[in-house]
Amino acid sequence: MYHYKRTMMIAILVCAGIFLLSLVMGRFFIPVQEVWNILLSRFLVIPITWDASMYNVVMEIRLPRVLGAILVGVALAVSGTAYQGVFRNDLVSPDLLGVSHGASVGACLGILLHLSLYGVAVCAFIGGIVAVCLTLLLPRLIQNQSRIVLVLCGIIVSGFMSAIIGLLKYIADPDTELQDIVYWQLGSLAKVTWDNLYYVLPIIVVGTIAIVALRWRLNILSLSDQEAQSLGVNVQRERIVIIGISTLLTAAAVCLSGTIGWVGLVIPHLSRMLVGHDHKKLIPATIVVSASFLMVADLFARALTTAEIPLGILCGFIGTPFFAWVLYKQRRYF
Amino acid sequence: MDSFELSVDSISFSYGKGEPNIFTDLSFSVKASDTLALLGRNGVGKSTLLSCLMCFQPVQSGHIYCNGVDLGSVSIQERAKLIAFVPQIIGADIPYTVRDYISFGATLRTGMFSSPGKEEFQKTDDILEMLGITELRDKPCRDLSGGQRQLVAIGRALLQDTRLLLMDEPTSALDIRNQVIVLETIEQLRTQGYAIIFTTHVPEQALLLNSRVGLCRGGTIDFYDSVSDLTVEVLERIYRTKLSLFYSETVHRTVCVIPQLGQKGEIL
Repeated sequence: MYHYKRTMMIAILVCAGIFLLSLVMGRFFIPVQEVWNILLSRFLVIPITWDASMYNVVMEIRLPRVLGAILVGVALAVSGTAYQGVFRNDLVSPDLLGVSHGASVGACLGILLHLSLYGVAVCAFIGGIVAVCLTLLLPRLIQNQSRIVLVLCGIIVSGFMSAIIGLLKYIADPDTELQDIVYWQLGSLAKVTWDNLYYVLPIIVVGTIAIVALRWRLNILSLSDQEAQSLGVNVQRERIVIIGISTLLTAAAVCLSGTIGWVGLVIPHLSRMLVGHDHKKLIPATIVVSASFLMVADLFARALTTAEIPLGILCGFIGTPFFAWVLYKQRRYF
Repeated sequence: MDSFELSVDSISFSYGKGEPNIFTDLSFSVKASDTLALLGRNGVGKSTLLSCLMCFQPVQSGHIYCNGVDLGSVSIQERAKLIAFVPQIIGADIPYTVRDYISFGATLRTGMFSSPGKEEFQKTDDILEMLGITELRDKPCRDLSGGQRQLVAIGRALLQDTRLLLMDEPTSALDIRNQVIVLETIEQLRTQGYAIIFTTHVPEQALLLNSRVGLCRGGTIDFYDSVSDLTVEVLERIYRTKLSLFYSETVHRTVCVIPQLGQKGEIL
C-alpha cells in the first residue's frame, strides 16, 4: 500500500509537470510564469502581464488540445483495462476487439451524411457496439472461447470494418469529405476545439467515473464465470454494463481524435508493471499514466518536426516496440 | 455453530434432450459436521452433481433445499450466502496476490461500488494463519504450487462465510504431501462444523477421512452413511477393476489398494 501511494504521488506530479510543459512548449515558446498567470486569470483577478497572442495560444489552441489528449488517453486506456478485465484476456484492447474500427465506420458514415458532431458521436457509439457484439458472437459460433480465438475474431471484425471504411472513402467526395475522413482517421488532436470538447467531455468523465466506481468489481469479473457466480455476482449483467461503458468511452475518444491505436493496449500493461494487477489500484494508475503518455505523444507530434505528425502514426511507432517489450517481459505467463 | 442442512429432493439431470441421464431422482442430505466424498470413475458425473448443486446447471426436475431455502428459486446472491465453491484448480494465470484473492470471498458483503475494508482483510489474515500459509500472503497466485493454490482457493471459500463447502477434485493434481495437507484441512473444517462435499478418484481418501460416501455409477449415485458399509465387490464394480479392501493392523483402519499388476486393467 505504501509503495502504491508513493508511486501514485510521483505519477501525479509527473503528469502535472507534463501538463504545464505541454502548454509552454510548441512552435511558439511561452514562459512558464506567463502560462501559470494566464491559467490563474480564469479564476482570479490578476494584473495582465501577457499579450493577447499568448493568451490565445494558451487558451484557444493549446489548452483544448492538451485537455483533448488527456480525455482521449484516459478514455482509451481505461476502456482497454476494463475490456482486459472482463474478457480475462490481457491481449485485448479497443483496437483489437474491433471497437475502434467499428466506431470509425459509424463516425465516417456520420461525416458522409453531414451530421452534427453529436450525430457523429451517436453513430460512432452504435458502430462500436455493433463491432464488439460481432467480436463476442464469433467465438460462440466457432465454439471456442479461448483467449487467442477472441483476439483473432477481433482482428476479423477489425478487418471487416476497415473494408467498410475503405468503401466509404471510395464513395466519398474526393474534394471535401474524403479529406475530412482521411485526416481524421489518421488520428490527430489538431482540430480539437472547445466546441468538440464540450460534446465528449461529459461522456468521458461520466464513463471514467463509472469504471472507477466499479473498479474492485473488475477483479471479480476477471475470475472464471463460475467462480464469480459462486461468489454471488450476476456475471452476465455486470459484464454487459462494463462492456457498454467501455464502448461508450472508446466511441467518444474516436469522435474526438479519430483512431489512435495501441494506447488501449500498452497503457494498461505499463500501469500493471507500476502498481500490480489489483484493479482497485490499476484503474487510477491507468488514468494518470495514460494522460501523461498522450500529452507527451501529442507534444512530440506537434513539436518534433516543423510539419505536424498525426498522433495515430506516432502512437503506432511508440506503441508497437513497447508492446513487444511487454510481451518479452511477461513471456513466462503466455 | 447452529444447525445446517442441505437436502436434495429427487433431482434429475441430463445434458440435453435425448442424452442419457447423469442421475435420476437423486435424493440425499448433508448436515453440519458431515463430509461427503463423491467417488467414481472419470466422467460419471461427480463434477456435474457439484455444478447442479451450485446451480451452474439447472436440474430437469426436483429441488435442492438449503436450510429450507429452495436454491433454484432464489437469486445468485442468496445462493452465495449458503454455499461456497472451491474450483478444481484456481487458474494458474491468476495474477492477484494471495491476500487480494482470498479477500474476493467477501464479495457478498461488499457494495457494488466499494471494496473490502480493514475488517475483511483482518479476517483474511486470520484465515491465512489457520491454513498455515501466512508467508504466501503477498505472493501472486500464479507463482504458487498446485497445493498452495488449492489452499488459497479453500481460503477464499472460507471468507465467504457459508456453512457448506463444495470442493471439486481438491486433491487430484497434488503430490502426496499436499494431498495430506488438503485432507487435514478438510477434516479440521469438518470438526469446526462445516458441511463438506468433495469429489475424488481415490477411495482411500474417503476411508482416511471416515467420511460418508456417494458412489457414482453413471446414471445414479448410491449413498453410504459410513465407509465401513463399503464392500470390495461394490468398489470393484464402480471402478471396473480388481481392488483389495482389508483392515490393516499397521494403520488401524480399513485400506483400499490395487492388489497387483499383470491383469492389464482387466474389466470385471
